[in-house]
Amino acid sequence: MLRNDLGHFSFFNLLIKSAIWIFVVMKLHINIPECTECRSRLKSVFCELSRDEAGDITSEKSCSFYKKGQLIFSEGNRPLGLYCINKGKVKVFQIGEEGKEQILRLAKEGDILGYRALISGEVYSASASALEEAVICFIPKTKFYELIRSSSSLAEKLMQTLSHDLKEAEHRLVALAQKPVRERMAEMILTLKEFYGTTEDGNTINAQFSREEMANFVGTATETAIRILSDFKNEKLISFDGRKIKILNLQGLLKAAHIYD
Amino acid sequence: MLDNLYILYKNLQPKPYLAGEIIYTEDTPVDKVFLIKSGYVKIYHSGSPNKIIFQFCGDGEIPGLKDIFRGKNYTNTAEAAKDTLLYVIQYNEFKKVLKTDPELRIEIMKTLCGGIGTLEDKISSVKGSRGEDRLIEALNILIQEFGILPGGTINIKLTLEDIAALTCLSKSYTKKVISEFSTRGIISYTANHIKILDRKRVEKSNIKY
Repeated sequence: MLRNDLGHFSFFNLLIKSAIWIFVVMKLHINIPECTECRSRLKSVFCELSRDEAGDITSEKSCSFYKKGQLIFSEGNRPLGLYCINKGKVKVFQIGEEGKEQILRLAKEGDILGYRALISGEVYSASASALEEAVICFIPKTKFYELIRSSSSLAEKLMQTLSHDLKEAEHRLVALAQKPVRERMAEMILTLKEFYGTTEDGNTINAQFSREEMANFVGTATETAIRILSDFKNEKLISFDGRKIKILNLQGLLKAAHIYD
Repeated sequence: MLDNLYILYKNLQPKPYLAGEIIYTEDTPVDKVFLIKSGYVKIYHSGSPNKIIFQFCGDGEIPGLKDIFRGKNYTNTAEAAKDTLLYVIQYNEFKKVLKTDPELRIEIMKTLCGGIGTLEDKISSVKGSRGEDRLIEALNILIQEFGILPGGTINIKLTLEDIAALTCLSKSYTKKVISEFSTRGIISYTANHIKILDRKRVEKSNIKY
Protein backbone atom coordinates (compact mmCIF):
# COMPACT_ATOMS: atom_id res chain seq x y z
CA MET A 1 0.00 0.00 0.00
CA LEU A 2 2.77 2.35 1.07
CA ARG A 3 4.79 1.36 -1.98
CA ASN A 4 1.76 2.04 -4.13
CA ASP A 5 1.32 5.51 -2.58
CA LEU A 6 5.00 6.23 -3.03
CA GLY A 7 4.70 5.09 -6.62
CA HIS A 8 1.88 7.57 -7.18
CA PHE A 9 3.85 10.24 -5.40
CA SER A 10 6.97 9.80 -7.51
CA PHE A 11 4.89 9.66 -10.71
CA PHE A 12 3.10 12.85 -9.69
CA ASN A 13 6.43 14.43 -8.78
CA LEU A 14 7.89 13.48 -12.13
CA LEU A 15 4.87 14.90 -13.90
CA ILE A 16 5.23 18.26 -12.15
CA LYS A 17 8.96 18.34 -12.77
CA SER A 18 8.39 17.60 -16.45
CA ALA A 19 5.78 20.34 -16.70
CA ILE A 20 8.13 22.85 -15.06
CA TRP A 21 10.95 21.72 -17.34
CA ILE A 22 8.81 22.05 -20.47
CA PHE A 23 7.75 25.52 -19.32
CA VAL A 24 11.35 26.57 -18.61
CA VAL A 25 12.48 25.18 -21.96
CA MET A 26 9.67 27.02 -23.74
CA LYS A 27 10.66 30.25 -22.00
CA LEU A 28 14.35 29.75 -22.72
CA HIS A 29 13.87 28.70 -26.30
CA ILE A 30 12.13 31.80 -27.44
CA ASN A 31 14.17 33.41 -30.09
CA ILE A 32 14.27 37.03 -29.04
CA PRO A 33 12.57 38.77 -31.95
CA GLU A 34 14.79 41.35 -33.61
CA CYS A 35 13.05 44.73 -33.35
CA THR A 36 14.44 45.63 -36.77
CA GLU A 37 12.66 42.65 -38.34
CA CYS A 38 9.55 42.66 -36.14
CA ARG A 39 6.33 42.97 -38.14
CA SER A 40 4.45 44.03 -35.02
CA ARG A 41 6.77 47.03 -34.66
CA LEU A 42 5.27 48.57 -37.79
CA LYS A 43 1.91 48.63 -36.00
CA SER A 44 3.37 49.95 -32.74
CA VAL A 45 4.56 53.25 -31.28
CA PHE A 46 8.07 52.17 -32.29
CA CYS A 47 7.25 52.31 -36.01
CA GLU A 48 9.10 55.58 -36.54
CA LEU A 49 12.34 54.52 -34.88
CA SER A 50 15.37 54.29 -37.12
CA ARG A 51 16.94 50.88 -37.79
CA ASP A 52 19.78 51.73 -35.43
CA GLU A 53 17.44 52.78 -32.64
CA ALA A 54 15.36 49.62 -33.12
CA GLY A 55 18.55 47.53 -33.08
CA ASP A 56 19.51 49.22 -29.83
CA ILE A 57 16.30 48.03 -28.20
CA THR A 58 16.95 44.43 -29.26
CA SER A 59 20.27 44.42 -27.44
CA GLU A 60 18.69 45.58 -24.18
CA LYS A 61 15.28 43.94 -24.10
CA SER A 62 14.20 40.52 -22.91
CA CYS A 63 11.37 38.40 -24.20
CA SER A 64 9.07 35.85 -22.56
CA PHE A 65 6.48 33.29 -23.50
CA TYR A 66 3.16 33.46 -21.62
CA LYS A 67 0.57 30.72 -21.40
CA LYS A 68 -3.13 31.51 -21.71
CA GLY A 69 -4.30 33.10 -18.46
CA GLN A 70 -0.77 33.78 -17.19
CA LEU A 71 -0.24 37.12 -15.45
CA ILE A 72 2.11 39.58 -17.12
CA PHE A 73 1.99 42.18 -14.36
CA SER A 74 -0.15 42.75 -11.30
CA GLU A 75 -2.05 45.71 -9.91
CA GLY A 76 -0.10 47.39 -7.11
CA ASN A 77 3.37 46.35 -8.35
CA ARG A 78 5.97 48.89 -9.41
CA PRO A 79 6.82 48.94 -13.13
CA LEU A 80 10.40 48.19 -14.10
CA GLY A 81 9.94 48.62 -17.82
CA LEU A 82 7.64 48.57 -20.81
CA TYR A 83 5.94 45.48 -22.26
CA CYS A 84 5.44 45.20 -26.01
CA ILE A 85 3.31 42.41 -27.50
CA ASN A 86 5.11 40.52 -30.23
CA LYS A 87 2.46 37.82 -30.56
CA GLY A 88 -0.86 37.07 -28.90
CA LYS A 89 -3.67 38.96 -27.19
CA VAL A 90 -3.81 40.39 -23.72
CA LYS A 91 -6.46 41.77 -21.39
CA VAL A 92 -5.84 44.59 -18.93
CA PHE A 93 -8.17 44.39 -15.94
CA GLN A 94 -8.89 45.50 -12.42
CA ILE A 95 -10.44 43.51 -9.61
CA GLY A 96 -13.35 45.40 -8.05
CA GLU A 97 -14.25 45.58 -4.37
CA GLU A 98 -16.46 42.51 -4.66
CA GLY A 99 -13.71 40.54 -6.35
CA LYS A 100 -15.28 40.99 -9.76
CA GLU A 101 -12.94 41.34 -12.70
CA GLN A 102 -13.37 44.49 -14.77
CA ILE A 103 -11.72 44.50 -18.21
CA LEU A 104 -10.33 47.93 -19.00
CA ARG A 105 -8.75 47.28 -22.33
CA LEU A 106 -7.72 44.63 -24.81
CA ALA A 107 -4.34 44.57 -26.48
CA LYS A 108 -2.84 42.75 -29.45
CA GLU A 109 0.36 42.44 -31.50
CA GLY A 110 2.25 45.72 -31.63
CA ASP A 111 0.49 47.20 -28.59
CA ILE A 112 2.44 48.31 -25.56
CA LEU A 113 1.47 47.59 -21.95
CA GLY A 114 2.22 49.18 -18.61
CA TYR A 115 3.24 52.52 -20.09
CA ARG A 116 0.96 54.65 -17.95
CA ALA A 117 2.40 53.44 -14.64
CA LEU A 118 5.89 53.71 -16.09
CA ILE A 119 5.41 57.30 -17.26
CA SER A 120 3.56 58.54 -14.20
CA GLY A 121 5.99 56.79 -11.84
CA GLU A 122 3.18 55.07 -9.99
CA VAL A 123 2.34 51.45 -9.26
CA TYR A 124 0.28 49.51 -11.81
CA SER A 125 -3.37 50.49 -11.47
CA ALA A 126 -4.42 47.31 -13.27
CA SER A 127 -3.20 43.79 -14.03
CA ALA A 128 -2.56 42.21 -17.40
CA SER A 129 -2.86 38.57 -18.41
CA ALA A 130 -2.55 36.64 -21.66
CA LEU A 131 -5.86 35.80 -23.37
CA GLU A 132 -4.02 33.24 -25.47
CA GLU A 133 -0.43 32.05 -25.83
CA ALA A 134 1.66 35.18 -26.17
CA VAL A 135 5.22 36.34 -26.74
CA ILE A 136 5.92 39.63 -25.01
CA CYS A 137 9.07 41.73 -25.07
CA PHE A 138 10.21 43.78 -22.11
CA ILE A 139 12.17 47.04 -22.46
CA PRO A 140 13.88 48.21 -19.26
CA LYS A 141 12.78 51.54 -17.79
CA THR A 142 16.14 53.28 -18.34
CA LYS A 143 16.14 52.33 -22.02
CA PHE A 144 12.53 53.48 -22.40
CA TYR A 145 13.30 56.91 -20.93
CA GLU A 146 16.47 57.19 -22.99
CA LEU A 147 14.37 56.56 -26.10
CA ILE A 148 11.60 59.06 -25.35
CA ARG A 149 14.17 61.72 -24.52
CA SER A 150 16.16 61.16 -27.69
CA SER A 151 13.35 60.48 -30.17
CA SER A 152 10.72 63.19 -30.48
CA SER A 153 8.82 61.06 -33.00
CA LEU A 154 8.52 58.18 -30.51
CA ALA A 155 7.41 60.63 -27.82
CA GLU A 156 4.85 62.09 -30.24
CA LYS A 157 3.54 58.58 -30.97
CA LEU A 158 3.25 57.89 -27.25
CA MET A 159 1.41 61.16 -26.70
CA GLN A 160 -0.96 60.16 -29.50
CA THR A 161 -1.49 56.75 -27.85
CA LEU A 162 -2.22 58.36 -24.48
CA SER A 163 -4.56 60.89 -26.12
CA HIS A 164 -6.36 58.03 -27.83
CA ASP A 165 -6.68 56.22 -24.48
CA LEU A 166 -8.05 59.38 -22.90
CA LYS A 167 -10.63 59.75 -25.67
CA GLU A 168 -11.59 56.08 -25.28
CA ALA A 169 -12.06 56.58 -21.53
CA GLU A 170 -14.29 59.60 -22.21
CA HIS A 171 -16.28 57.55 -24.68
CA ARG A 172 -16.71 54.73 -22.19
CA LEU A 173 -17.86 57.14 -19.52
CA VAL A 174 -20.44 58.70 -21.84
CA ALA A 175 -21.64 55.27 -22.96
CA LEU A 176 -21.86 53.99 -19.41
CA ALA A 177 -23.70 57.02 -18.14
CA GLN A 178 -26.09 57.37 -21.03
CA LYS A 179 -26.41 54.19 -23.09
CA PRO A 180 -28.57 51.22 -22.13
CA VAL A 181 -26.82 47.85 -21.65
CA ARG A 182 -28.25 46.48 -24.93
CA GLU A 183 -26.58 49.27 -26.93
CA ARG A 184 -23.31 48.84 -25.05
CA MET A 185 -23.31 45.09 -25.69
CA ALA A 186 -23.93 45.57 -29.44
CA GLU A 187 -21.18 48.18 -29.55
CA MET A 188 -18.80 45.88 -27.70
CA ILE A 189 -19.37 43.03 -30.20
CA LEU A 190 -18.61 45.46 -33.04
CA THR A 191 -15.50 46.66 -31.21
CA LEU A 192 -14.33 43.06 -30.78
CA LYS A 193 -14.85 42.46 -34.50
CA GLU A 194 -12.81 45.53 -35.36
CA PHE A 195 -10.12 44.71 -32.80
CA TYR A 196 -9.62 41.00 -33.43
CA GLY A 197 -10.79 40.73 -37.01
CA THR A 198 -12.70 37.72 -38.31
CA THR A 199 -11.89 34.17 -39.33
CA GLU A 200 -11.95 33.09 -42.98
CA ASP A 201 -15.77 33.19 -43.14
CA GLY A 202 -15.56 36.98 -42.61
CA ASN A 203 -18.18 36.94 -39.85
CA THR A 204 -16.81 34.97 -36.91
CA ILE A 205 -14.82 37.09 -34.47
CA ASN A 206 -11.28 35.82 -34.17
CA ALA A 207 -11.26 35.55 -30.36
CA GLN A 208 -13.10 33.80 -27.56
CA PHE A 209 -14.65 35.35 -24.49
CA SER A 210 -16.67 33.93 -21.64
CA ARG A 211 -20.08 35.47 -20.90
CA GLU A 212 -18.63 36.77 -17.63
CA GLU A 213 -15.78 38.52 -19.45
CA MET A 214 -18.25 40.12 -21.84
CA ALA A 215 -20.41 41.26 -18.91
CA ASN A 216 -17.39 42.77 -17.19
CA PHE A 217 -16.31 44.57 -20.33
CA VAL A 218 -19.74 46.13 -20.77
CA GLY A 219 -20.13 46.80 -17.07
CA THR A 220 -23.20 44.78 -16.24
CA ALA A 221 -24.18 41.64 -14.32
CA THR A 222 -23.39 38.29 -15.99
CA GLU A 223 -27.11 37.37 -15.92
CA THR A 224 -28.00 40.57 -17.81
CA ALA A 225 -25.26 39.92 -20.37
CA ILE A 226 -26.50 36.35 -20.91
CA ARG A 227 -30.07 37.61 -21.39
CA ILE A 228 -29.06 40.29 -23.91
CA LEU A 229 -26.81 37.91 -25.86
CA SER A 230 -29.69 35.46 -25.96
CA ASP A 231 -31.96 38.25 -27.29
CA PHE A 232 -29.38 39.00 -30.01
CA LYS A 233 -29.29 35.30 -30.88
CA ASN A 234 -33.11 35.08 -31.06
CA GLU A 235 -33.17 38.19 -33.25
CA LYS A 236 -30.62 36.43 -35.52
CA LEU A 237 -28.10 39.24 -35.09
CA ILE A 238 -25.43 36.82 -33.88
CA SER A 239 -24.88 33.11 -33.29
CA PHE A 240 -22.50 31.19 -31.04
CA ASP A 241 -20.06 28.44 -31.76
CA GLY A 242 -18.92 27.65 -28.23
CA ARG A 243 -17.36 30.88 -27.05
CA LYS A 244 -16.95 32.25 -30.56
CA ILE A 245 -19.37 34.88 -31.82
CA LYS A 246 -20.53 34.94 -35.42
CA ILE A 247 -22.14 38.13 -36.69
CA LEU A 248 -25.19 37.21 -38.78
CA ASN A 249 -26.65 40.65 -39.33
CA LEU A 250 -24.12 43.49 -39.24
CA GLN A 251 -26.66 46.19 -40.09
CA GLY A 252 -28.96 44.94 -37.34
CA LEU A 253 -26.11 45.01 -34.85
CA LEU A 254 -25.13 48.54 -35.93
CA LYS A 255 -28.74 49.56 -35.41
CA ALA A 256 -28.83 47.94 -31.96
CA ALA A 257 -25.66 49.87 -31.08
CA HIS A 258 -27.22 53.07 -32.47
CA ILE A 259 -24.34 53.47 -34.89
CA TYR A 260 -25.49 54.64 -38.28
CA ASP A 261 -23.43 55.11 -41.41
CA MET B 1 1.02 71.40 -14.10
CA LEU B 2 3.21 71.99 -17.14
CA ASP B 3 5.91 74.03 -15.37
CA ASN B 4 8.33 74.24 -18.30
CA LEU B 5 5.70 75.65 -20.62
CA TYR B 6 4.41 78.02 -17.97
CA ILE B 7 7.88 79.48 -17.52
CA LEU B 8 8.33 79.80 -21.27
CA TYR B 9 5.15 81.80 -21.82
CA LYS B 10 4.88 83.75 -18.58
CA ASN B 11 5.75 87.02 -20.33
CA LEU B 12 2.97 86.70 -22.91
CA GLN B 13 -0.13 88.88 -22.51
CA PRO B 14 -2.87 86.58 -21.22
CA LYS B 15 -6.40 86.75 -22.59
CA PRO B 16 -9.20 87.15 -20.02
CA TYR B 17 -12.32 84.96 -20.07
CA LEU B 18 -15.31 85.62 -17.81
CA ALA B 19 -16.95 82.79 -15.88
CA GLY B 20 -19.32 81.00 -18.25
CA GLU B 21 -17.53 82.20 -21.39
CA ILE B 22 -16.83 79.52 -24.00
CA ILE B 23 -13.15 79.11 -24.96
CA TYR B 24 -13.76 76.59 -27.72
CA THR B 25 -16.51 74.21 -28.71
CA GLU B 26 -16.55 70.71 -30.17
CA ASP B 27 -15.28 70.66 -33.75
CA THR B 28 -13.29 73.90 -33.37
CA PRO B 29 -10.01 73.41 -35.28
CA VAL B 30 -6.99 72.89 -33.03
CA ASP B 31 -4.98 75.83 -34.33
CA LYS B 32 -4.42 77.37 -30.89
CA VAL B 33 -3.28 75.91 -27.60
CA PHE B 34 -4.59 77.46 -24.37
CA LEU B 35 -2.46 77.51 -21.25
CA ILE B 36 -4.18 78.57 -18.01
CA LYS B 37 -2.40 81.41 -16.19
CA SER B 38 -5.03 81.58 -13.48
CA GLY B 39 -8.60 80.40 -13.01
CA TYR B 40 -10.47 77.24 -13.91
CA VAL B 41 -11.79 75.73 -17.10
CA LYS B 42 -14.34 72.94 -17.28
CA ILE B 43 -14.21 70.42 -20.10
CA TYR B 44 -17.46 68.80 -21.13
CA HIS B 45 -19.15 67.05 -23.96
CA SER B 46 -22.36 68.75 -24.96
CA GLY B 47 -23.21 66.47 -27.87
CA SER B 48 -24.76 63.78 -25.67
CA PRO B 49 -28.37 63.95 -24.45
CA ASN B 50 -27.04 65.00 -21.04
CA LYS B 51 -23.91 67.05 -20.54
CA ILE B 52 -20.98 65.23 -18.90
CA ILE B 53 -18.11 67.14 -17.27
CA PHE B 54 -14.89 65.20 -17.80
CA GLN B 55 -12.45 67.47 -16.06
CA PHE B 56 -11.67 70.79 -14.41
CA CYS B 57 -8.33 72.29 -15.47
CA GLY B 58 -6.46 74.74 -13.24
CA ASP B 59 -3.33 76.92 -13.27
CA GLY B 60 -0.56 75.76 -15.61
CA GLU B 61 -2.75 73.20 -17.39
CA ILE B 62 -3.84 72.96 -21.03
CA PRO B 63 -7.55 72.33 -21.60
CA GLY B 64 -8.17 69.73 -24.30
CA LEU B 65 -4.56 68.56 -24.29
CA LYS B 66 -5.41 65.21 -25.88
CA ASP B 67 -6.95 66.85 -28.96
CA ILE B 68 -3.62 68.49 -29.77
CA PHE B 69 -2.20 65.04 -30.48
CA ARG B 70 -5.29 63.41 -31.89
CA GLY B 71 -6.35 65.31 -34.93
CA LYS B 72 -7.66 68.47 -36.36
CA ASN B 73 -10.53 69.44 -34.06
CA TYR B 74 -11.34 69.77 -30.38
CA THR B 75 -13.68 66.96 -29.32
CA ASN B 76 -15.17 68.67 -26.25
CA THR B 77 -16.21 72.13 -25.16
CA ALA B 78 -14.08 74.25 -22.82
CA GLU B 79 -15.78 76.88 -20.70
CA ALA B 80 -14.33 79.21 -18.05
CA ALA B 81 -15.63 77.89 -14.72
CA LYS B 82 -14.48 81.11 -13.01
CA ASP B 83 -12.95 84.32 -14.33
CA THR B 84 -9.85 82.97 -16.06
CA LEU B 85 -6.67 84.22 -17.75
CA LEU B 86 -5.31 82.17 -20.63
CA TYR B 87 -2.11 82.32 -22.64
CA VAL B 88 -3.00 81.69 -26.26
CA ILE B 89 -0.21 79.88 -28.12
CA GLN B 90 -0.19 79.09 -31.82
CA TYR B 91 -0.39 75.33 -32.45
CA ASN B 92 2.69 75.21 -34.70
CA GLU B 93 4.79 77.12 -32.20
CA PHE B 94 3.71 74.76 -29.43
CA LYS B 95 4.70 71.76 -31.53
CA LYS B 96 8.09 73.31 -32.23
CA VAL B 97 8.75 73.80 -28.52
CA LEU B 98 7.64 70.24 -27.88
CA LYS B 99 10.06 68.87 -30.44
CA THR B 100 13.05 70.49 -28.75
CA ASP B 101 12.14 69.95 -25.11
CA PRO B 102 12.23 66.29 -23.98
CA GLU B 103 11.31 67.14 -20.37
CA LEU B 104 8.19 68.97 -21.54
CA ARG B 105 7.25 65.87 -23.55
CA ILE B 106 7.53 63.75 -20.42
CA GLU B 107 5.50 66.29 -18.39
CA ILE B 108 2.77 66.21 -21.03
CA MET B 109 2.73 62.41 -21.04
CA LYS B 110 2.39 62.44 -17.25
CA THR B 111 -0.51 64.92 -17.50
CA LEU B 112 -2.27 62.71 -20.04
CA CYS B 113 -1.72 59.66 -17.80
CA GLY B 114 -3.23 61.57 -14.88
CA GLY B 115 -6.27 62.46 -17.00
CA ILE B 116 -6.83 58.83 -17.97
CA GLY B 117 -6.52 57.73 -14.34
CA THR B 118 -9.10 60.30 -13.21
CA LEU B 119 -11.54 59.19 -15.89
CA GLU B 120 -11.07 55.51 -15.12
CA ASP B 121 -11.82 56.23 -11.45
CA LYS B 122 -14.95 57.99 -12.58
CA ILE B 123 -15.92 55.04 -14.79
CA SER B 124 -15.50 52.66 -11.84
CA SER B 125 -17.56 54.99 -9.69
CA VAL B 126 -20.36 55.23 -12.26
CA LYS B 127 -20.36 51.45 -12.68
CA GLY B 128 -20.35 50.47 -9.08
CA SER B 129 -22.00 53.12 -6.98
CA ARG B 130 -25.35 54.65 -6.15
CA GLY B 131 -26.38 58.22 -6.86
CA GLU B 132 -25.61 59.24 -3.26
CA ASP B 133 -22.06 57.93 -3.51
CA ARG B 134 -21.54 59.72 -6.81
CA LEU B 135 -22.65 63.04 -5.34
CA ILE B 136 -20.32 62.52 -2.36
CA GLU B 137 -17.48 61.78 -4.78
CA ALA B 138 -18.28 64.89 -6.85
CA LEU B 139 -18.36 67.03 -3.69
CA ASN B 140 -14.95 65.71 -2.67
CA ILE B 141 -13.52 66.51 -6.10
CA LEU B 142 -14.93 70.04 -5.91
CA ILE B 143 -13.56 70.60 -2.40
CA GLN B 144 -10.15 69.34 -3.46
CA GLU B 145 -10.12 71.36 -6.67
CA PHE B 146 -11.65 74.67 -5.54
CA GLY B 147 -11.46 74.69 -1.74
CA ILE B 148 -14.01 75.84 0.81
CA LEU B 149 -14.70 79.46 1.79
CA PRO B 150 -15.03 80.40 5.47
CA GLY B 151 -18.55 79.36 6.40
CA GLY B 152 -18.41 76.12 4.41
CA THR B 153 -19.36 77.16 0.85
CA ILE B 154 -17.41 75.47 -1.97
CA ASN B 155 -15.52 78.14 -3.89
CA ILE B 156 -17.31 77.65 -7.22
CA LYS B 157 -20.81 78.31 -8.51
CA LEU B 158 -22.43 75.32 -10.20
CA THR B 159 -25.86 74.95 -11.78
CA LEU B 160 -27.94 71.83 -11.19
CA GLU B 161 -27.03 70.81 -14.75
CA ASP B 162 -23.32 71.12 -13.90
CA ILE B 163 -23.68 68.91 -10.82
CA ALA B 164 -25.64 66.34 -12.85
CA ALA B 165 -22.89 66.47 -15.48
CA LEU B 166 -20.28 65.81 -12.79
CA THR B 167 -22.12 62.91 -11.20
CA CYS B 168 -23.28 61.45 -14.53
CA LEU B 169 -26.83 61.37 -13.19
CA SER B 170 -29.99 62.83 -14.68
CA LYS B 171 -30.95 66.33 -13.55
CA SER B 172 -34.09 65.12 -11.82
CA TYR B 173 -32.22 62.40 -9.91
CA THR B 174 -29.46 64.84 -8.95
CA LYS B 175 -32.12 67.22 -7.64
CA LYS B 176 -33.63 64.41 -5.56
CA VAL B 177 -30.26 63.41 -4.05
CA ILE B 178 -29.38 67.05 -3.26
CA SER B 179 -32.76 67.47 -1.61
CA GLU B 180 -32.19 64.32 0.50
CA PHE B 181 -28.73 65.57 1.53
CA SER B 182 -30.24 68.93 2.49
CA THR B 183 -32.94 67.26 4.60
CA ARG B 184 -30.30 65.22 6.37
CA GLY B 185 -28.22 68.32 7.05
CA ILE B 186 -25.23 67.25 4.94
CA ILE B 187 -25.25 70.16 2.44
CA SER B 188 -27.39 73.11 1.40
CA TYR B 189 -27.73 74.29 -2.20
CA THR B 190 -28.98 77.77 -2.98
CA ALA B 191 -28.29 80.17 -5.86
CA ASN B 192 -25.78 77.74 -7.41
CA HIS B 193 -23.71 77.67 -4.22
CA ILE B 194 -23.06 74.38 -2.43
CA LYS B 195 -22.50 74.76 1.28
CA ILE B 196 -21.05 71.85 3.23
CA LEU B 197 -22.90 71.55 6.51
CA ASP B 198 -21.47 68.25 7.72
CA ARG B 199 -17.88 67.88 6.50
CA LYS B 200 -17.29 64.52 8.17
CA ARG B 201 -20.16 62.89 6.32
CA VAL B 202 -18.98 64.33 3.03
CA GLU B 203 -15.46 63.02 3.42
CA LYS B 204 -15.23 59.76 1.52
CA SER B 205 -13.97 57.66 4.39
CA ASN B 206 -16.94 58.65 6.51
CA ILE B 207 -19.81 57.86 4.19
CA LYS B 208 -22.63 56.65 6.41
CA TYR B 209 -26.26 56.51 5.42
